[in-house]
Amino acid sequence: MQGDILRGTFDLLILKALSWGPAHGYAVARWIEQATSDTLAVGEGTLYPALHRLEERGWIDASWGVSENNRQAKFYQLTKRGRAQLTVETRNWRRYAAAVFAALDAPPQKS
Amino acid sequence: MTMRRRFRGLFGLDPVHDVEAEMSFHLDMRIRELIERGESPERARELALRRFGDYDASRRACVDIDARRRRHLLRQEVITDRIQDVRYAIRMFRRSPGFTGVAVLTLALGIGSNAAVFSIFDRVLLQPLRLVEPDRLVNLAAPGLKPGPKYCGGVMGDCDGTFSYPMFRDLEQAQRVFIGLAAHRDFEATLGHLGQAENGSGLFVSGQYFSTLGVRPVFGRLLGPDDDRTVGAADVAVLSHSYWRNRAGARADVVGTTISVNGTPMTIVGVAEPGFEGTTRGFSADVFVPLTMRWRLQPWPSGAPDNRRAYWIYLFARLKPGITLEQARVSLDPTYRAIINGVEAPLQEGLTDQTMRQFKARTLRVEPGSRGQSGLISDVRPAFMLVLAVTGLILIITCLNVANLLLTHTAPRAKEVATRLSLGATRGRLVAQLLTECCVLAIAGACVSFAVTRATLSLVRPLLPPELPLQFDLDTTLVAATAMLALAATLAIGLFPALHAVRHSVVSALKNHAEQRGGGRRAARFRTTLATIQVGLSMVLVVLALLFTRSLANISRVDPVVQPDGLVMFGLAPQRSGYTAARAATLFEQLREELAALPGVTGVSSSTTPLLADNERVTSVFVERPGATPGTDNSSRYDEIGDGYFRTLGIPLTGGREFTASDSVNAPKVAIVNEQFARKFGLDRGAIGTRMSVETPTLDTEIVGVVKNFPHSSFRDAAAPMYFVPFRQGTRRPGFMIFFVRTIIGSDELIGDIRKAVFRLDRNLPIETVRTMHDTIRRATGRERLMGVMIGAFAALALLVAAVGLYGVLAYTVSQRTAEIGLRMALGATRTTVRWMVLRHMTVISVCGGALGITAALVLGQAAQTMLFGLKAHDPSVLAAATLVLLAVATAAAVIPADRAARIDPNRALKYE
Repeated sequence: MQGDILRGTFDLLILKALSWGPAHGYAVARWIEQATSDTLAVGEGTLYPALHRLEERGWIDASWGVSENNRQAKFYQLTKRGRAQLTVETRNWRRYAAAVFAALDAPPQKS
Repeated sequence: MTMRRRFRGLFGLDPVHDVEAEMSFHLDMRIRELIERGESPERARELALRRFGDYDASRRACVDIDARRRRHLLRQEVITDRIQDVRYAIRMFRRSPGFTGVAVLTLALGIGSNAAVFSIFDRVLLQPLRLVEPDRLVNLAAPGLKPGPKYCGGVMGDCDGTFSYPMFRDLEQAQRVFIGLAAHRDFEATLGHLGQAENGSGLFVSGQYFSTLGVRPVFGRLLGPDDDRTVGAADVAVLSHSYWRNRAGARADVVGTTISVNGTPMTIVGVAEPGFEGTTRGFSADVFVPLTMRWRLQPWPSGAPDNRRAYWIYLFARLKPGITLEQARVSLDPTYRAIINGVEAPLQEGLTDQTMRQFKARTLRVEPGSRGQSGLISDVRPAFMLVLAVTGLILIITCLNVANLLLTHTAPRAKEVATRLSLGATRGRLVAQLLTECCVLAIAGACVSFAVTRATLSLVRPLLPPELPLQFDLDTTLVAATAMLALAATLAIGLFPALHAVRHSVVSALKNHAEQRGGGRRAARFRTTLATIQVGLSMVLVVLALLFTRSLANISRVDPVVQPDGLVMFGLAPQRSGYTAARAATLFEQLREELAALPGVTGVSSSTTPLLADNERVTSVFVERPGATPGTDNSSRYDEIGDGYFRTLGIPLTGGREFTASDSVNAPKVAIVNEQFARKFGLDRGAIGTRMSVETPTLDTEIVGVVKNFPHSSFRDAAAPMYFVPFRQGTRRPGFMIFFVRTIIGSDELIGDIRKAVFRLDRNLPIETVRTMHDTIRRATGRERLMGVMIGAFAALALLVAAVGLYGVLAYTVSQRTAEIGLRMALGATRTTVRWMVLRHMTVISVCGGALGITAALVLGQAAQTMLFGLKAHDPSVLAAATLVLLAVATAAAVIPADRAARIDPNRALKYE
């Protein structure tokens, strides 16, 4: 998977990761890692520009807090707009994936 | 600063550090996890880094995104702040409509009057000609003694600017520093085109005129050197674009057709480019005619083409590239002086050694000419400067007043300001907010000011010559001027109250009551200063207004001598309709008989100069008298008149006789002089019978009568020396005539009869300016009346505004000192004492302001001296009257605050404290 599809997917997964509540970057990375059985393991570093971009778009908010092991960490949280975006993107992704599956299962073209 | 602090919570101290902290937290967590899974610390670190990927690239990307986002937020913050401020300001002003109304109206007054005067000033005096490189144009002038007839003082400039025709040709030949040297002169023209005759204006131009200016034709060609070679040879004309479009039919095939100029048919060879109507402000040429045609089109003034003593042409030139104005003067002046000394000096007659020295000392002047050549500029400049100064004062007064109002307005807000400061707003932010309020006021004032501008323009309009196209016009200059003034006003009114509110109430309102009182007292002192300046400036205006009112009264008191009831004046210029002098003389004689036969007419006479029209003719005279001292000024005004002139006008002779029909061409030459002439030339004991002559010392004329002094050209110089001769005995017959008709029936009826009489004689002859003598007299004092009314109106406004300001200060002081006054009263001060306390405050302000104002008025009045009639600018009675007016107004403004102070109840005042 390359380019826009990858980035779109990645953003969607980040939003999904935050849908259960505030989390720091590492937790988001861990969740994506587990939920996708590490299939999407690209450089974890790219997660951070993605988070900051989502923040810039106003889909997530950031604030400094204390982590489970008592360290200063930056916590991200879905905004109202972010939640709406997640719904829309999820629906789009399902439709898209269904279409791709349908295509993959389709019989050969009759001439 | 503010903003950084506000965003610190969001971004931390340093955005780069933030990003690194976030990313290293991630790495640490991963390493810990790997170690827990049993990796060695080194191996764990290596694995974590590999998993993370390009650390630096990610960090850079994050920092960039954050920086972008931060910039965006900052911008938004500033905008929302301003919008909030504006909303807040509007809400506040809505809550106090009285304050707002007064402030906006006052500002509109200041801004509008200034914008109007400035935009006229710009249009009349500042804007350069719309030509190629106008700053390379220069005007030539020949100041100094010019014995002989002069034709100057008209729309093109004063007598210093005029040259003789031969001198122009000499300079044109000799000069090496100009791309072109051109001559021009305006003339009144009767233009006949498409079968109808009408009054218009013409311009005689030399061969290099159009090329020097760089004007292009829209049709045909313009005039060139070939049209300018031989006197009277080139009967060709160029039309101005607006004459061609509006009055000549706007036909594209106009070139080659004929136009009659003063009765001479001329071939139209071209039409000049749109917008070009000569280079003289206040004059628009309809047709351009070669200079050499002057003696055919305008034959009546004396001065043949080779006459070096007839000065009538104005000269301008365009500098060659690289030549400066001074270089041009240095190059041309020796030539000029050589002609003066070698050629012209020997031609002069009857000059004493002293005047001859003066004559020979004349030098050439070269002046910047980017604004063209116009007498208008020097004419209206003093009046304009004065009006500009007056409106400038109005602006200052209004700004001071609004600043004062704002101080009153912000004083009760000390608590609000302090609260907001303690809640974390910075002072800069609060000053910005208070300035925004001023800005809102100023913008509202600027909007309303357009109405004031329009009113001011219509008020000033009559000050300017009617030729000047001037209407209310929202052009860029006006809008820009208004905006600039509004900005200046904002800063002027806003900065101090804003800083004051922040600096003083900050420390105070919440913390320490005593200190706040100190701040209040400081504000009171500042407001006292503002009020003092206001009083001073309005004093200036009051003095000026009284000066001009007195001037108007003086000029209205001048005895016109002429009996205006039932007297009508009109002009006729048949020579401009192609009449020869002989035919014109016959026409005048016929018309005179026709007029005399009209019902109710009791007298008809004529002259060659209209009465009270600022039209004066001056020449040098020689008078036979024993013991005459040579070398003195021997100039006198003159007029050429018909029989019964003085009887018809009702002007008494103090001796001798009037001209009669027997004073004809062949009869002995006679003259009548006024009393001032007799005094000037030492003829007090018997002018009658004395011999005199004009221009040359032949003494061929006998004085036969002495007439009482009367205002001839204007009321300003009723007592100028003057002589009269019969026009029948003049060197040439006049081609135009001013008629005076006296009736015992109504003037209106008479005017109708006059028109019919002229129409019966020649239906194509236009009548010029028919006017009753009452109307003429009223017009002659027009400028004085206008200046009086205008400055009076401004002064009244300024006084009102200053009174409001003074009232505000006194009322504010009383309210600030309520407790103190209460205490004084409790300790035995009477109501009178308290009342006097307030009045004393008023007196201090008035005396200081008044002294300031009188000083400034003396300076400004000196500049206005030339516009005053019959009094000095430092007239003590005017200064005394102005002081009285000021004191009366100041006292009126103090009555209410004084009364309020006197009625303070000590019990309540102290309890409140």
